[in-house]
Amino acid sequence: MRDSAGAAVAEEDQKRRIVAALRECRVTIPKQGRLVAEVPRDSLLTLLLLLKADGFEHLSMISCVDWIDAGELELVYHLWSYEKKVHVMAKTRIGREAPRFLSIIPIFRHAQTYEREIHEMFGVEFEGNPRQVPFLLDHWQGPPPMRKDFDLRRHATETFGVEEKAL
Amino acid sequence: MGVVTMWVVGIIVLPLLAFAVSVLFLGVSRKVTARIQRRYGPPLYQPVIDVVKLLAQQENVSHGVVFDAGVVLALGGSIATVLFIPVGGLHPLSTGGDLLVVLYLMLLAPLGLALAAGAAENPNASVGVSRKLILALGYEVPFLLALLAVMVQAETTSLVEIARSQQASVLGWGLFRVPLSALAVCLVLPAMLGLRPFDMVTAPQEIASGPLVEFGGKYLALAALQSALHSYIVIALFVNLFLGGGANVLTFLAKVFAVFLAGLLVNAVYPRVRIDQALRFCWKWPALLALLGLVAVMVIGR
Amino acid sequence: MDRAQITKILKSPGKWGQKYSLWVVYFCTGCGIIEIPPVITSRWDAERFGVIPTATPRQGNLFLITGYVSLKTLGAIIRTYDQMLDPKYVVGFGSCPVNGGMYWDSYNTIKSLDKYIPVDGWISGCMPRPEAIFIAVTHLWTLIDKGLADGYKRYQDNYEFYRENQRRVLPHLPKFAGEYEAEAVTA
Repeated sequence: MRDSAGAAVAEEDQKRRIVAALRECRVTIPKQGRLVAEVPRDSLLTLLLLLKADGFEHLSMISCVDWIDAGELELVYHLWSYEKKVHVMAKTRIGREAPRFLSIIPIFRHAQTYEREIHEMFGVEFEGNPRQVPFLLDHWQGPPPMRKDFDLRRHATETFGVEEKAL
Repeated sequence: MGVVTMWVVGIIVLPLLAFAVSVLFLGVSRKVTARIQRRYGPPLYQPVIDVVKLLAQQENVSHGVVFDAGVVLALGGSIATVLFIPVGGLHPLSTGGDLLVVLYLMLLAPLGLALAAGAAENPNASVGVSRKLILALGYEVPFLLALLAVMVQAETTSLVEIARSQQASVLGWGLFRVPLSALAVCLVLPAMLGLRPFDMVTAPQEIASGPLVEFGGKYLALAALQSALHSYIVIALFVNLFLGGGANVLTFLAKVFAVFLAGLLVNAVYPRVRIDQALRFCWKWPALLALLGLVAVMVIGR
Repeated sequence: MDRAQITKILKSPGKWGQKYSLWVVYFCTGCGIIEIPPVITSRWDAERFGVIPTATPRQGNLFLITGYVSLKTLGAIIRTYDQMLDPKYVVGFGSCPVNGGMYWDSYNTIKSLDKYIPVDGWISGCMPRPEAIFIAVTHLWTLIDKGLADGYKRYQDNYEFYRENQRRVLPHLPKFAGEYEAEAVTA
C-alpha cells in the first residue's frame, strides 16, 4: 500500500518489524505489495507466528523448489494480509537427502493438504502431519516426480510406450 | 355384438390414444422449453427417436427379476389406469366407483418404479425413491381433500358422471363450482407431474436421475413411456374433475393440451426446491385451501 | 432381396435412432469439459442434433473424453465405459487423448487413448471450438451409417489387448473387469 508520498508504507513497516524481531532474517521488497523473507529452518515457525499476529492470516499456498546444484529444497510459505494487501513469501531451505520439516498445522490447519502434496511430489516428511498419504498419483511406485533428478522423458516413454502402435 | 365390439375397440383405442398424445406432449415440451430458452430445440418427433434408440440397444443390463417386474408393473399400472379415465365420449370400462379405482391404480406405477429402484442397489436410486415417497405424501393430502369436495359436490364417485355434470355450461365447470379445491389442486399439479419447482425426484444434477439411475436400454424406454403416460393421466384426471371433461375427444384433448402448456410454462422458469420445502409447501396453503373448499361444499350447498 | 438386404432394412430404424439421439455421458474428464456447457445450452444448442447430457452411464451412448487423462481418471473412465450399454461410441476431444497434447512427456497422463479404450473419432485442438463438436457428431452419423463406428465390437473382440494395456499403467486392476477387488480408498 502506498501513502500520499508514494512510498510503500506497509511493506517497509513490516520489514522493520520482522528484522527487529529476527536478526537472522533477510527481507527484501521486490515490488509493491510483495515481501520476501528468508530465514534458516529453525526460525521459520517464529516468523510465521509473528506474521500471523501481524495480520497475515491467510496461508495461500506452500510450494517447494528443488535447488539441485546447492543440494537443498526450498519451502516457500505464501501468506496474505487482507487489510494491508501485501503478499509475503516466507522461505526456508532444508537438505535434499531424506528431508524432514515440522508441520505448521497448529498455526494454519489447512496446511495439511499442501504438505501432503509436497510430501508426494518432493518426498519431504512433515512431522506432525497425520495424513501424508497418496494424493494425486495413483499407486505410484517410483521416486518423487517433481525432483529435478527424476528423468521425466524416460519414465514417460517406458510407462506409456509412445512408440507402440495402437489397434 | 355391437356393445362388445365398442367395448373392445375402446379398450384398444384408449391406450393407443394416450400413448400418441403423451409422446406428442413430450416432443412439444422439449420444443417449447427450447424456444423459451431462446434456442431452436429438437424436432417434435425427437421422443420417438429416443424411444426407438432405447429399444434398439443391444445390451440391457438387468438387476434381477424384481427389477424387470417393477418396470413392467409400472407401465402396466399406467396403462390400466388409462383405461378408466373417460376421454370425451370414450369410457369403455366405467362403472360406479371408477374415481376410486383410478386412485388405487395410480399407486401401481410409483410402486413398480420403487421396486425396480430398490432392486438396482444404487444409493442414488434410494434417495430418489425416498424423495418420491415424501413428495407423494405431500401432494396426496390436498389432492384427496379436493377430491372429497368434488365427490360430495357431485354426489357421485363416477368420473363419467362428474364429467357429464359439468358440461351444461362453462360456469358449470368444477373450477367455478368448487373453486377453492380446484385452486388447491392447481397448486400441487406440478408436484404430481414431476415438473419444476417440484422435480427433485429425478434430479440429474443432484442424484444422477434418482430412481432411473440404473435404467438403460429397454428399461429406460419403458420408464420414459410410463412417465409420459403418468403426466397424461394426471392432466386428464384434472380436466375431467375441474374443467368439464369434454363433449368429444377433440375438445378434451384441447383442454388437456392447455393445462399441459400451463404446467410447461411454469416448468421452464422456476428453479427446483428442496424436498422439505416441497412438503412444507404442500401441507400449508394447498392443504388449507382444500380443507376450506371441503368445508364450504359440505356446509354451504351442493 | 437377399438376407443381407432384409437385415439392413430391419436394422435401419435402430441406426436411425442411434444417430439422431446420441446421449452424452456427462463425465467431466479433464479441462476440455469447459467447452461442453456452452454447447449443450442455449448458445450452441446441441439438442437440435439430439445430443443431450445424461447423468448416469447406463443411459448414455456417447462418451466424450475431453482433455487430458491422468491415471486416476483412466480408472474411472474404464469403469464408466464398462457400464455403458452397447452400442456405445467414444470420441476423443482435444489434443491430449490423441497424442498426449501439452502433457506429452508427463509422468501421470496417458499419451494415446486408443490403447486403453476403443475410440471412434478424434477432435484435435486445445480446446476445439464448439462447432468442432457438431462436425464430429455429423461425422459420427456417417460412420454409424456405414457401420464403421464399431468401437464396442473391437473392445469385445480384443479385450485381452486392451486389458493388458490398461494393466500396464494401472497395475492394480484385476485381469477381468468382473472381479473388482475392494481397493483401499487413499484419496
